Amino acid sequence: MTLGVKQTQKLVSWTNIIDAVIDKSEFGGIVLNGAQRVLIWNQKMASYSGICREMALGRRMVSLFDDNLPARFINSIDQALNLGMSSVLSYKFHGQTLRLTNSDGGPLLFTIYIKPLSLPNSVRYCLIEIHNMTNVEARERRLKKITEERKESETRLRLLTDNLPAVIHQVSVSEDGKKEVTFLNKGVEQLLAEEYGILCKDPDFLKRYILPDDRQKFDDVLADVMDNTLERDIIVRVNLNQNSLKWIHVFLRGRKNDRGSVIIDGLYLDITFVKIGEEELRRLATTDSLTGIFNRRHLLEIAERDFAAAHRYETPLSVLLIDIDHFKYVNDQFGHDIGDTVLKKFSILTQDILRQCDIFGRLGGEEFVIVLPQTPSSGAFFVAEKVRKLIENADWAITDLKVTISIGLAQSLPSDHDISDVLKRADLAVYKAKDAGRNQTFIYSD
Amino acid sequence: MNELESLSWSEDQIDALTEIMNMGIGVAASSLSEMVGEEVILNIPKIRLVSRHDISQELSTQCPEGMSYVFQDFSGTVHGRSALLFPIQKSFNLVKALLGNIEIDDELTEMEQEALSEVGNVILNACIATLVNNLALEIEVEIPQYVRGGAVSVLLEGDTQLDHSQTNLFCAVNFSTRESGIEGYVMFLLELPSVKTLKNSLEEYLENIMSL
Repeated sequence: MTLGVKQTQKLVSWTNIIDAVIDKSEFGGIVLNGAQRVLIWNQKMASYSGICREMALGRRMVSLFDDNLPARFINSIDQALNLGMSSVLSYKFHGQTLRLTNSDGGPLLFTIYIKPLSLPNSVRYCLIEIHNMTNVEARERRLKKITEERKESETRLRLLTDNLPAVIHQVSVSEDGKKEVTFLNKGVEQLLAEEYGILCKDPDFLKRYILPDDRQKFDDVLADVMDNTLERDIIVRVNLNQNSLKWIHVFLRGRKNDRGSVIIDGLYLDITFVKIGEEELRRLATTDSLTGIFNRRHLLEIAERDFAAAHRYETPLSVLLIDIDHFKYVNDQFGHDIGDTVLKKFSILTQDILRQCDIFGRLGGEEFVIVLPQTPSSGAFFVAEKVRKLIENADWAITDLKVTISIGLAQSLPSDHDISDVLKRADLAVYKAKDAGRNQTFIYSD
Repeated sequence: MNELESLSWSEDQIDALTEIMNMGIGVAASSLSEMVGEEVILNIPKIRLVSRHDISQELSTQCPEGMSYVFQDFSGTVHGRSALLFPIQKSFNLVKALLGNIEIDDELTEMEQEALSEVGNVILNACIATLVNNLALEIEVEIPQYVRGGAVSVLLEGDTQLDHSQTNLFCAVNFSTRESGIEGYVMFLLELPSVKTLKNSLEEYLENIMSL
C-alpha cells in the first residue's frame, strides 16, 4: 500500500509530535523493536548515557553499553518482548554495573521500568523508562536528617526538662474544645507526688489539686489566657495526698496555631519554700522573739487600726496595760533565765484566756498591753481581774517564786486622737495600782 | 459447594503447578543471587488452592497489623493479580538481607521501596514467566507496585479488575529464605474463567509430558 502525499504529511507530523513528547517526558526513554533494536532514544536518554540519538538508533542495547549492561536488564528486555512482562530495576541493586550520569556529572540515581508495548497488529515493542531519583533521594536524605535531628533535640530537651525542678506543661485545645496534652516533663512527679503516666493523660490535672478557695481564681485566669491568648501568672495552693500544702506559681501563655487550635504553655514552679520564708519573715517582723506574741511595733499598729474602727463606729474599746510586779527583783534573785521563763509563761497563760479579736503584745521589758475591741471598761475590768488572778495563782514550779501583776485600765473616749491617748491613761492607772500596793487592777478616772 | 471446589483439581494438576512454581522460585533465587552478589536460597514452596475469602481471613488473623506487599496485575488469556506478601517487619529484614547492613528505621525511603519492588518483581516475574512458558499463556504484566502495611483485604479485593461476584482462585506459595528466616507468600488471584483456562492449560501440559 502506498500513502498519498497528504497521508504522508500527516504521518510525518505525528512522528514529530511523538518525538517531541518523548523528548519532553520526565524520564530517559527508549523504545526497542522486536529485534531489540533502538527505535526511539530521547534527549534525556542521550544525556544520561552520553550516547547521542543518531548513534543509538538501530543499535542493540548490548552493543551500546558494551559489557556493562546487567544481566537482569537484558533478561527483562527479553521477558518484555517475548512474555509481555514488566520489570523494575533499582539503583540499589544495579547502580554499580549500569553507570549513567546526572546532569551535574555525578552518578544518576535511577529507577528503571521495562515494559512491553503490545500493538494491535500483535507486534510487541519494549519501552524502557529511566527515572531520575537523585532529587527524591536527596530530599529523603534531608528529611531523614531533619527527623533524626529533631529526635535528638527532643531527647536532649527531655533530658533537660525531666531533671528540672519545674513543670513544663503544654496543652492543645482544638476548635471543638477537645484538650490534649502535647508536652509534660517528668518534673511533675516531684511536684504532685503522682505517677507521670497518670498525670499526662489528664490535660486538667492541676485543677484537681488546687484548693477549692483558689480554684475559681485559677479558672478565671485560664479562661482569660485561652480567650485572649495572652500571658498571665497566678499563685495557687495545691493539696497533696498526705495533706501537705504546696504553693505553686503558675505561668500560663495562650497562643493560636495554624490549625486554629489554642496552645497553652504552662510553667509551674514550686514556691512553697519562698512562701514559707515569707511567712517566717513576716512572723519575725511582727512578733516578739522571746514570748512569741506581737512585738511593740506590730501591737501599736494593730491597736491603732482597732482604735480607728472603734472611733468611727463609736463602739467602746478598752486597753489593759499590764506590768509584772517587782520584775527586777525576780531577775536579781532568780537569774535572767527565770525572768525570761516568767515572761514566756505569763504570755502563754494570758493568751489562752483571750478572745480571738483581742490584741495581746509586749510593749517592752515587763510591760504588756491587751486591747479589747467592742468592750467597755466594765467588761474589761472583768478580763483584767481574770488575768490577774490567773497569774497570782499560777504555779511557777520554782520555790519561793511568786508573780503578781498590776493592771491599768482605760477606755477610749470620743475626744481621743489616737491609741496613745488611751495608753497614756492606762499608764497612769498602772501607777495608781502600784501605789495602792500592786497585784490589782485600776480603772483610770480623772 | 461453590464452583471453585466443583472444578475438582486432581493431584497431578496440583503437582504440576507446584513443579512450575518450584522452577519459578529457582529462577528467582538465582536472579537474586546475581543481583546481590551472593547466594540467595529460597526454600521449596508449598502450594495451596484456596478461596480469596479464606486467605483474606487467614492472613488478617496471622498479621493483624497488616502486611507489606508488592503486586503486579496481568491480563490476557488469564488475567488477575500476582503479589508477594510479607509481614510488615519482615519486609525490612528482606531489604536488609539483600542490601547489606544499611540503616533502616521504621520507614523505607522511596529508593528502598523501589529496591523492595524489584525483589518482588524478580520473584513474581520468575513465577509468571515459568507459568507462561510452560502453559503457553498469552499475557501482559504491569509494573510492580509496593504497598507498605496495607490491610490484606485491600490487596485482595481492592482495585482489581476482577469480578467480585465470582469465586477466585488463590494460589499461595509459601517460601522462605534460609539464612535470614524471612517468610513470605506469593499469591495469584484469578477469576473463575481464568481459573478454568489455567486448569485446561495444566491438563494439556500434563498430556504433553505423558506423551513424551
